[in-house]
Amino acid sequence: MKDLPHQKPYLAVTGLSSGYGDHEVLTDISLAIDRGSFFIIAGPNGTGKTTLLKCLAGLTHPQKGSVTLDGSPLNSFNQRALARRIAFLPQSVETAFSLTVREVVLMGRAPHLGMLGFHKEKDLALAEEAMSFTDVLPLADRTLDALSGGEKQRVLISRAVCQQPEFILLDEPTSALDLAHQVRVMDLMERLKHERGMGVVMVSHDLNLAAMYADTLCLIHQGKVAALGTPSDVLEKKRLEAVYGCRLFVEKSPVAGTVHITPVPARFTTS
Amino acid sequence: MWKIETKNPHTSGEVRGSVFSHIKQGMLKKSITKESQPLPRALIQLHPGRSSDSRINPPGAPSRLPCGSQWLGGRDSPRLQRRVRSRISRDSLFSSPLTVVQGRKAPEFLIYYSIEISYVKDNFPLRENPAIRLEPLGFRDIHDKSQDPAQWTTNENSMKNRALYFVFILIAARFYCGISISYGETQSFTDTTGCTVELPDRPLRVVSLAPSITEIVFSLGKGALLAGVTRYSDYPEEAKKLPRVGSYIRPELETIVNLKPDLCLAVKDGNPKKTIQRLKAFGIPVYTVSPEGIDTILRSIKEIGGLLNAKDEAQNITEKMSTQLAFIDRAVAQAPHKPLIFFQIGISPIVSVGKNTFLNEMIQRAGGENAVTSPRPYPRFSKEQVLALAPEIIIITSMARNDIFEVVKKEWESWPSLPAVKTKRIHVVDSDILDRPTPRVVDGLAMLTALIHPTLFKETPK
Amino acid sequence: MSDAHLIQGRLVRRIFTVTGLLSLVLALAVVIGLATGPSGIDLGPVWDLLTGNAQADGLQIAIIERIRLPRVLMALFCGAVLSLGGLVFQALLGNPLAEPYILGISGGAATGAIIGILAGLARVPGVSLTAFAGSMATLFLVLYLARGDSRAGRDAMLLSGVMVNAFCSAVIMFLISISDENKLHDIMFWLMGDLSSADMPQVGMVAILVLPCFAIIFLLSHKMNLMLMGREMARSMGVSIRQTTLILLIATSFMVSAMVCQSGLMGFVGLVVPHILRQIFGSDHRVLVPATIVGGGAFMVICDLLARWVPREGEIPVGVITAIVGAPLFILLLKRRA
Repeated sequence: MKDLPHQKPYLAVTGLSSGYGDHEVLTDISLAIDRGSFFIIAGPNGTGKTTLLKCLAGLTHPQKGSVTLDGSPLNSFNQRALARRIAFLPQSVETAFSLTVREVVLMGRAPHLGMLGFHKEKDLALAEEAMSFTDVLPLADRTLDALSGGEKQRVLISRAVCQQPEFILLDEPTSALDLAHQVRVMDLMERLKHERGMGVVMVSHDLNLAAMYADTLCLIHQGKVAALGTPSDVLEKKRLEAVYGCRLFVEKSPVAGTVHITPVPARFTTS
Repeated sequence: MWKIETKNPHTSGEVRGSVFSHIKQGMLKKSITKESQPLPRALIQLHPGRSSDSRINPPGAPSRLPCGSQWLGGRDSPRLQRRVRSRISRDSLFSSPLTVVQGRKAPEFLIYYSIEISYVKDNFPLRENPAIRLEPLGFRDIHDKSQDPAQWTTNENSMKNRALYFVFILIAARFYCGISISYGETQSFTDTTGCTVELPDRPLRVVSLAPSITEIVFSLGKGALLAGVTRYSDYPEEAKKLPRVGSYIRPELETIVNLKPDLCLAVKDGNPKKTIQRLKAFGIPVYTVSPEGIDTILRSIKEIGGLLNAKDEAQNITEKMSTQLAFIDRAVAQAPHKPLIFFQIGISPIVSVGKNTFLNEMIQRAGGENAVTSPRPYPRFSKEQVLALAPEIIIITSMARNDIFEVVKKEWESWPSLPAVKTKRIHVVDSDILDRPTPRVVDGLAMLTALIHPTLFKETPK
Repeated sequence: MSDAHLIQGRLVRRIFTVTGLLSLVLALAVVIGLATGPSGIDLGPVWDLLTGNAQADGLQIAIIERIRLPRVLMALFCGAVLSLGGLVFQALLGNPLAEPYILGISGGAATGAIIGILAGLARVPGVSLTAFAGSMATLFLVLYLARGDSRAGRDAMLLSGVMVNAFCSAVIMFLISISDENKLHDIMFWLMGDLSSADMPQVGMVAILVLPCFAIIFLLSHKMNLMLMGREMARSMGVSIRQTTLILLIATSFMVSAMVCQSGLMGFVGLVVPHILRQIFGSDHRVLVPATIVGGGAFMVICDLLARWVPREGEIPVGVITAIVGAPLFILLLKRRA
């Protein structure tokens, strides 16, 4: 964030509260995400990370407070206009129907096309380009259900890329992937940020990856912002142990020089 | 043999057909008007050839007419002939120098037609009128005494005058139009539903839409007129051989229309109203009867007799039935006690008959009292309920499944507290003569009375 | 790029090719359907009718035009509506087992229709209106029971549909047990599905009610594609889920109830036809919607043809045929898929 020229906050949250029925999941959250930055939301399970992401995507309406894009509240946009600016990738996409990779990626063009989604030459080119960006072009004519988890995730990212948004919001895209694919997806996100100037907002459990990639890290605890800032600021041992409620071992990663966190198994906690 | 058909007889009069396929109408007209010579007189004779039933053909009809046509044109129906002639003479389309004989002068030619007319509705478009079909057989010189239709020429080359030949065909075509609106020898009847029905004075192809109607028609001696009957029309034996047109609850429209009936006999309850409406839309007259009770059966028999020219037979049958009914009524009136009867028409579940049913009327007329007083026609019962009703007689109807019914009878007998079991009055009877509203119903009533009051009859009613 | 160009042209062309191919099948089925009578198949009169042969047998022509044609057209619409209904519900619920029948829409329409029949109302408009009221009541009940955007909502909808359906079946059984003999036959035949009484005014009315629904559903077909990816994903791609779902549900239940009260209940059509077509042509609804309309029509015309042709005397209710043909085929497809 320090390296980037300062821009006015694009995606901003002020005094946000949200929940289901009487149960309040998020309470009074305020944050701002710049375009062209990598923003990671972390925190223990059930603390409202996904809800926050959905609020940012305009999929859940806040009970209190507001989410604004470029100064205008999200609910003042119609769904299509919003879709042209924000792309969203849910935690899991399961479909009982066999769609080909190309069909799925082309779906990303939907907010830019007419009602029946008849695409033009340009849209196809964009889809091809998005597929080659995430390296799934060879899979173009395979069906989605025939792909491995990593391939499927890259296809879905390719779809989001094809949507040409300003922000791409992802809900734990790496949680089901092996190490190689995790890094691959994260690298892709970094390239999106650098090469296309997209704002990447990601919910992630992997604090180590977050530490290496995020520009800004937001730690959510019990529906509130526990910490917000650069990874090295946020990932303090004491704070993390309080938030996660377990013993942690924190060291400096020899690779990136960032914080590396190892949870300590119970049998070692006495030592 | 060739066919002629006009496309729209009421407006254009355009003639089409295999013979004319190469001649334009204009040419034809020209050739007619050019002929200044007086045109020959012709008599058109009809052979309504429809029924293959030889009994309908009167003696003296040419034997070799196709499909055993009825010789109706000349003698049998002078009314029809008169009507046809006057129609032709009035028709303005004969403004051409053509004159058609009206019977005063001897005709020079005879044109023979095989014509199928079952029933024709006024102004009913020909194309949609399934009842008309005209096939010219040929024409012959009146002086040719040959009665053999095989000699009637249809060979164009042997014509004296080729133009004349076409003129006749033109007449035929016009005649065809004429007949389609003139043949209206119908009578109006009002049926039990209050519909006025135009019926041919002599229906020749009747479709019966219920087994009971089939039975009535046969009892009137008019079984030969039946062109089709519904499924389960199994009495008398001959009825089984007739073509089926679906069940009476679901008559098959297409099969009926295909039979080209000139009369359909329907029942008010049972036949779907929609089918009847659609039959009428096809120009097929439908007469509805409602034989629901004993008195209405008598009325229905008389009505059907009136339609089928069997008034006398109907009178005979109904008189005989009335006599028998009076006999039964007198006998029943002497009965000291009306036993309580449980009438079982279904085994599992137990189904009986309620008030407002035909069988209820039968029970009462036979001097019994229906144990069931439900307003619903066919109420269900549990064994316990039947025991509570304590019927004095149990009557089980069978439909040729005697074994099962004997089992049911045995089951009832295991309840000795039932009055009917104590007095051993559980009977199995044939359902057909009891619940079918036909002339046989009197036999059923007699049987039922004999079961309920075995002591009343010293002799069985006749 | 050249490959891409090929594919772009392919979509519109594909819609036309697939629909055209199926139309040929449909046309063939219709011709055979028109030629099939109680006494077998006779193509002669149909040929006469098509060529306008003036020498044709007027009676046969009249029978074809006024008895068989409305029946075949009714079968066509019936198949198209029920198949399309299935397709829409499958897309909305993301479940290939969804169908108007399973969701209780048909059951609700049937209950409404039977109440109408028992009340002695005319088929049009009386019974049609009670049927629509019944289907809308069940639809809103199902929607109410399965509120919310969550994925659980989809399953809840299916489950509550099953429950509503069970309830409707019970109501129907109750109504049957208290109705008298005459109407009972009517109802039983109707429950099994019946096309034999169709006439032209009926067909015309069905067409007027149903064709706009076809158009609406086709216009929303791309949105249905997006909804295959899940509701949230579809929303993030610019689909207003609530609005689209509502329009689709109302249009579908409207056309299904309009159809059901004319033709009676017919199961499996909505499962089998979309399933087969999806296996052949893929999951793009812009292709599938027209294909299902035409293919479903053809399927039902063939079923109706079998219903008339198979028994030696009389005919089988067409619902029996669709179930006999449909259920094993469906099981087979499911098995192969698994």
